[in-house]
Amino acid sequence: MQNHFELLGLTPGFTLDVKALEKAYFNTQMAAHPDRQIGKSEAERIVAIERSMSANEAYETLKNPMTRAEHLLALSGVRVNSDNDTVKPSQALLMEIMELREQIEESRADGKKLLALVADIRLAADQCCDDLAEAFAAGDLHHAAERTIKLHYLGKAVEEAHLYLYRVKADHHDAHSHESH
Amino acid sequence: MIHLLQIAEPGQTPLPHHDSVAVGIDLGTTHSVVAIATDGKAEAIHDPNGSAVIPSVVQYHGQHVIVGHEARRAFAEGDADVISSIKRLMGRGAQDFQEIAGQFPHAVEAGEGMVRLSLSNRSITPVEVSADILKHMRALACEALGRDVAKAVITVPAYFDDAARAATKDAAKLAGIEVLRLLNEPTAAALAYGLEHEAEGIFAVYDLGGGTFDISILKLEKGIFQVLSTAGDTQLGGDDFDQIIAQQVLKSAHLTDIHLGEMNQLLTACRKAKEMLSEVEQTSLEWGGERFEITRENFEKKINSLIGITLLCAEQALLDAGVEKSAIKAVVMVGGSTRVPMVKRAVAEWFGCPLNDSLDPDLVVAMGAAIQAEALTKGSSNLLLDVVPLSLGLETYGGIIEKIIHRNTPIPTMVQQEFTTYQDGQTAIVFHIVQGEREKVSDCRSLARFTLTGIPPMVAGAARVAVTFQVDADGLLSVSAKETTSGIIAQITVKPSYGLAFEEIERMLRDSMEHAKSDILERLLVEARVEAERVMLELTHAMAASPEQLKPGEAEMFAAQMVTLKEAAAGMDRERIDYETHQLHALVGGFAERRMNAAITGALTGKRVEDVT
Repeated sequence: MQNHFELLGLTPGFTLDVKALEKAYFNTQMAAHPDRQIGKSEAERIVAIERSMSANEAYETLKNPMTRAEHLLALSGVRVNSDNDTVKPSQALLMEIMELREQIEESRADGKKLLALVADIRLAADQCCDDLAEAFAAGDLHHAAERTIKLHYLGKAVEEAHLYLYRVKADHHDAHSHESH
Repeated sequence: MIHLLQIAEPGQTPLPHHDSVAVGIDLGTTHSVVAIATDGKAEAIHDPNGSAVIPSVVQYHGQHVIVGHEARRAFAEGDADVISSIKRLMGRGAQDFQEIAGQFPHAVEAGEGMVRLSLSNRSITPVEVSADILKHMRALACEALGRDVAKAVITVPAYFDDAARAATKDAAKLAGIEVLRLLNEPTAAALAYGLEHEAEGIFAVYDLGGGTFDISILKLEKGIFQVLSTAGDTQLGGDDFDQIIAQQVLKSAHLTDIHLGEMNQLLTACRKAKEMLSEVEQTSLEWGGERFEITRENFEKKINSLIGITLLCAEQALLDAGVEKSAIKAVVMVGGSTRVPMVKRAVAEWFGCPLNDSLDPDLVVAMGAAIQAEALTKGSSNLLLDVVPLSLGLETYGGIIEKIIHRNTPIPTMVQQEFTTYQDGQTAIVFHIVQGEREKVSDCRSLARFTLTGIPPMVAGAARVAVTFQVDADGLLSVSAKETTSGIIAQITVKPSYGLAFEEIERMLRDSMEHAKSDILERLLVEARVEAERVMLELTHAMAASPEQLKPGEAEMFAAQMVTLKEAAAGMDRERIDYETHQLHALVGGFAERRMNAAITGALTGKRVEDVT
């Protein structure tokens, strides 16, 4: 499989300097982006476009801690959060997430509660990232896999909370506009 | 259809554009602007009357087509054969008909595929009307520059879906313009603004035009213009402000059902009143022999909810970009509707940061497009990195969408996903491609359907069908599917199912050429011959360069077809030439793909490029 770190000339690892990632990505696109192939031969052009697409995929994958961790695990043959995963979520985690989603569901119409929940989840996600950095540094792939799975579910929960938040605002906005008519 | 060698991006030629002038065109809902750049400095092109902002209004008067100020005057006088705001219908089809019919100030027919407009002596598609505007802009540029202009960067709302983008490209083709790039309007504005101010940091571009709204969050850094996210509404703009005033007038005049021409007159008066209200607190408009008083206060109350929608979009964009409001350095204001004082006030207050409207909000998009047109023909030290505005996916079991490419993914991009059969002995799979954020197919835009046939009969779940979604730098999608155990390929470049069929474009091209009184038959014959020559030349070159990729017997097969094609090209029958060219394309597909794969693999394993060509 494609090693996204190598493609961008970066050292594989969970701890990644965002500035360095960006710089590597920009440099790659400066050379490979289709807009910068003026006067190039057909072969050069097709190789460049392919490379531009790969760089976009690499950047998107590495920029996000969860997908970065998934990719690192996959490079070592550990698959999580997919149909054919090798490490599955624990019962305890599934219970924890179920409770969290219930809380979100119950707060669906309450903007303040939703915001508080989002803040809590973000803290939990930050903790996961700290754990991941340690686990990868120690070479503990199983622990890393567990934390990556948790990060995945936390991400889904935040998405859901944001969807409700958006609806709360849109409803508020609708009510407001009816007043003004 | 598999294109021979699949190498250049669609619409690009592999050679530099030596002797051509390339312009930037902002094809707007209410106005269009054409601009040209020299050494990174853009300038809008003025018509002989000194006007750079040309109304996107077209009058169909018998065989005459009139575009611009004169057409707008006719529109204001109530001529029903004048079309305005056509951009709102780009890429719209029968599925949108109900929604459009009530809103659009013209008689609209559902039509086959895309919607059509009925005029007194003809029926016309939005693509043709847009092509007429583009032709006019092109002619304007040709006249002002004293040379032919055949290439352009054309801007589209960032939030335009695939169908509307494809329709815009079709319109350009019909106008005889080679599209160097479809560029998102806020990105174009950011380019012009960023270069003018040597700006660095994170910016928002708030683009409220005549008919569309876009908000983009961009990071500007050392010549890189990176779009982090974009959101918007393609059915919201200054036209809606006019409508709001018009509804108010109709209400106070106790009118419900009025004639189309009268409505257009009213809308024109409302637009003028709206513009006045940007300067004064109160104004009046005359219509149907009566005078109506309009106050800014009342107007602001009515547009409050529309501005609210734009701010919800802004919030979504920030969230998707992962950027806090406080990180935004400035908001660049684009589009004529940002002149409305309340829009400025609301945006400044919401973002809590300075607004920048130092560049003319009507011209800045065309200027950015011109700068990019120069960059794509002569080169530049800047780079635009843009994104997919709306998620792209496939319908799966039960009408649920499986998203393949998520919104705000940087382009160009390619994503492959595997699917399988769900019945024993199933030999075909239908793919339904959709675009949108909702989970159910019925809530999203249907782009196309295609079928992969010829799958060898297997037990359910045994087939491996790899579906590839590819979005190019224009934001246009192509999709292909391949059964990997047997190598069966079905490929299409997504043409929206309610868009133009290729034949229809060809017909329009022919029609337009007839109108131009050029000898179209001869021209098409010449084009067919040139195309045949080009294909044979490329193939000969490819065969010589990569003989190892030829399967036994292939070389002889290609040679035989080339003899047939040469015979056809020597004759006068264009259709036969085209047919034989297509035959050659079809034969060569497998070889072209093997060669392309080898080129890529070669490059990625570090071989020199010359070694693999």
